[in-house]
Amino acid sequence: MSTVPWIILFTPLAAAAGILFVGRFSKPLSAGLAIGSAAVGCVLSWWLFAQPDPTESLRYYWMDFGEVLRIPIGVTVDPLSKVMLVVVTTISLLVFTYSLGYMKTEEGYWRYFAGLALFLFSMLGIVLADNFIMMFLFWELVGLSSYILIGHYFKRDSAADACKQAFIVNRVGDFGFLLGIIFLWAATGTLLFDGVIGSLGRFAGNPIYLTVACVLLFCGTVGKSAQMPLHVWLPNSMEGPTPVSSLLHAATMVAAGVYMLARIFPILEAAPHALDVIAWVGGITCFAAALMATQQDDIKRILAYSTISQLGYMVLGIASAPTADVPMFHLFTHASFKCLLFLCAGSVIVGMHHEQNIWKMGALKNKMPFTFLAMVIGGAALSGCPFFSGFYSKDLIIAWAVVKYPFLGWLAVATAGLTAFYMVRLLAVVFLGKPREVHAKHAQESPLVMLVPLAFLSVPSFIAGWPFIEKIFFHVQEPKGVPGLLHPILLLLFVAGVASAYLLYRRADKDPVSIPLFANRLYIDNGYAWAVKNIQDSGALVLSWTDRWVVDILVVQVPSKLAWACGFVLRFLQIGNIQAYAFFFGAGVVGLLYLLLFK
Amino acid sequence: MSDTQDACPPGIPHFPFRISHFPNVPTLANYLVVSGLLFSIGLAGGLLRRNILIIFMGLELMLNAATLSLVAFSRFHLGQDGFPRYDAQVLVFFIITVAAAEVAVGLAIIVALYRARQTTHVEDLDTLKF
Repeated sequence: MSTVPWIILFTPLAAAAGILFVGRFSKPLSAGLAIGSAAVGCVLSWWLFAQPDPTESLRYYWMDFGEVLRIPIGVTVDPLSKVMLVVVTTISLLVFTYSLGYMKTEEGYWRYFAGLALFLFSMLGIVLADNFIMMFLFWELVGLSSYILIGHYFKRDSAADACKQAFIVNRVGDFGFLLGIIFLWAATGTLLFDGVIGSLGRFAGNPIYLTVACVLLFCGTVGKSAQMPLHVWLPNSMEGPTPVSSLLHAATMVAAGVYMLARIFPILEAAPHALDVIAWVGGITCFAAALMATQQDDIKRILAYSTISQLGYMVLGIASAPTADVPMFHLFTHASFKCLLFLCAGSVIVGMHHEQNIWKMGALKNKMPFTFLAMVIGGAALSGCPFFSGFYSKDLIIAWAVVKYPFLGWLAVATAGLTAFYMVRLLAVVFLGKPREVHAKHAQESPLVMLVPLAFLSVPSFIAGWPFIEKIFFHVQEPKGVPGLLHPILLLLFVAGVASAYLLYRRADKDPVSIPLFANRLYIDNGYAWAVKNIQDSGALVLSWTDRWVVDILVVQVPSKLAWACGFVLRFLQIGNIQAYAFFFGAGVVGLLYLLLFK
Repeated sequence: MSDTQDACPPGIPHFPFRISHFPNVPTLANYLVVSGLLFSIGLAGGLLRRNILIIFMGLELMLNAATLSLVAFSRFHLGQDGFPRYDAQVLVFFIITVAAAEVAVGLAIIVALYRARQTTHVEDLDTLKF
C-alpha cells in the first residue's frame, strides 16, 4: 500500500530514462515504454482510488539541517490527490496512445516519447507532493518538460521562441511562488502542507503577512495556469505537437496551478483578501480570454484561449466556493472535454496535412464524421450545453461566484455565452460551409489509433458531470441564495451564443465580424513586446555602460596594468643564475629568522 | 656550568662546548656543532661551486646535517620515563629513504641535462631569465 504511490510516481521516470537508452534503436520500444508507464500508473491510480486513505506516514527526510530546516520528500494520498492521480494518468494514457498515430511520420519520435514520460513524472510529483519544496521541485520539472515538448520542432523559429517564452514567463510566476514558500516557512518553520495549515494560528495577529504570502503563492498559479497577465505563453505554446497541447491543457501543466491552490485551500481561506485578489484575477482572465478566443483564426489558438478562460473559472471557483471540490470538479470535467477537443483538433490537423488556419478548412463534416461527432460532444461540454459535463461543473462555479462576488459572477455568466459563441464558430467554420482549400477537399478520417482515444474521451466528456458520477469523486454543495433567474439566463445565453454563431458563420468564407482589439489579443502581447523593447533595452544600455566602464576599466584593466607593472619591475631579479637564486633564498630565510627571533 | 667544569678530572684540556664530565662521551652540543659545520659546508658548496654535481652534493650535505641534528635532539630529549624519545630516529629512516629516491631523480635529471646541453656548469645554464 505504502509503495504504490511511489511506483506510480517513478515508473514514468524509469520509462523516460529507458527511452533515452533504447530510443534510438527502436521506435516501437520507446513508444511502448512511455505508454506502458502511463498504463501502469493508470491502473494503479484507479486501484488506489478505490482504497481507503492510508494511515501510515509516507514521508522521508531528504535533507536534514536539524530543527531549522528539514526538507522532506513524501507523498500525500487523500481524496484530492487520488482524484487528480486518476485524471492525470488516464488522460496521459489516452494522449500517449493517440500520439502513436499523430507522431507516426514526425521526426524526433523517441525524444518526444521520453519528453512525454518525463512530463507525466513531473506532474505526478506535483500531485503527490506533501510539502512545498517537493511541489516546487516538480513544478520546475513541469516547466522544463513543457519547454522540451513545446520546442519539439526546435528547427522552426516560432517553436523555439514559444518554448523559450513559456519557460521564461513561467519563471516570473515561479519566483513569486518561491517567495511565498519562503514567507510561509519563515513564519511557521515548516514546509509541510499539514504543518503550515496546522500553525495558521500564528498569523492571527498579522493577517497582512499571510495575505502577502498567499498572493505570492498565487503568482505561481498565475504563471503555470496562464492567468492574466502571464497568460501569453499558453497560446504560443501551440507550436508544440497537438497531443502535447492536449496533455498540457487537460492534465499535466495548467491544471497544476489550480491543483496547488486546492492543495493549500485551508491556508487561502485564512486570508480573505488574498481570495479577493484571486477572484478578480480569475474573473477577469475568464472574460478577457473568451473575448480573445472569438476572433482567433488558428484552430489550436481558439482552444488555447478557451483553456485560459476555463482556468479563469476554476481560479474564480477557488476564491468563491467554500471547498476546493467545486473548482476541482470543473478541472475534472474540463480535463476530459478539453483533452477531447484538442485531440479532435489534432485529428483535423492531420487530416488537413498540418494546416491550422480554420479559414482554410470547411465542410469536413462528411470527410471526418467521427472527429466531427467527438468535437461536437467536446464543444457542447465546453459551452455548457445542458446534460453535458461542463454544464454541471461550470454552472456550479458560476452560482458560487454570483453569490460571493456578484460582479465577477455576472462576468462569468457573460463568458458562458461567449464560450458557446466561439465554440460554435469554430465548429461551423471547420466542419460546415464548403471546402475553402485543396486540403479540405481531400481530407480523410484519421487512423483508428487516434479515433479510439476520442471515443474513450467522448464518454466522460458527456457524463462526467452527472450527479451520480460527481458523488463518487467529489462532495460539492449548491450555494444558497442564488438568484432564481441565473440558470434560465445561462441557458438563454447558451442558446443565443450557439444561434448567433451558427447564423453568422454557417456559410461565411471569411470572418464577417472583425474586431481588431480581440484579434490582436487585447494588445497584451504587443504591450509585452513594447515593454521588453523599451524597458529592457534601456536597462541593457545601463548595464552595457557599466560593463564597459566599470567592469572593463576599473575591475579588469586597472588591476591587470598594475600587475603588469609590478611584474615588469620584479622581472629584473630573474638573472638566470641558480646560485644567485639560492643566495636570495638563503638571505630571505636569514632575514625572516632575524625578524621572527630577534625583533 | 661552573659546577660541571669544576667537577672535571684534572689533566683533561678544556673544550668550550663540553658540558659532561665524562670525557669521551659526546654531548648534544658536539652533535649540533658537527651538524652546523656540515650545513655550512653544504651551503658554501651549493653557493660557490660551479659544477652542478657538486652543488647537488652540497644540497645532500645540508639535508644530512638537518637529519643529524634531528637524531641528536631525539637522543638527548629524555621522556617522563627517563628514556630518550626514539620517534624522531624512526622518522629519520623515512627521511633517508626519501632522500635516496630524491637523489636518484636528481641524478637522472642531471644526466638528462648533460645529454641535452653537454655541460654541467651552472654558469652556462642561464637561459631562463628576463
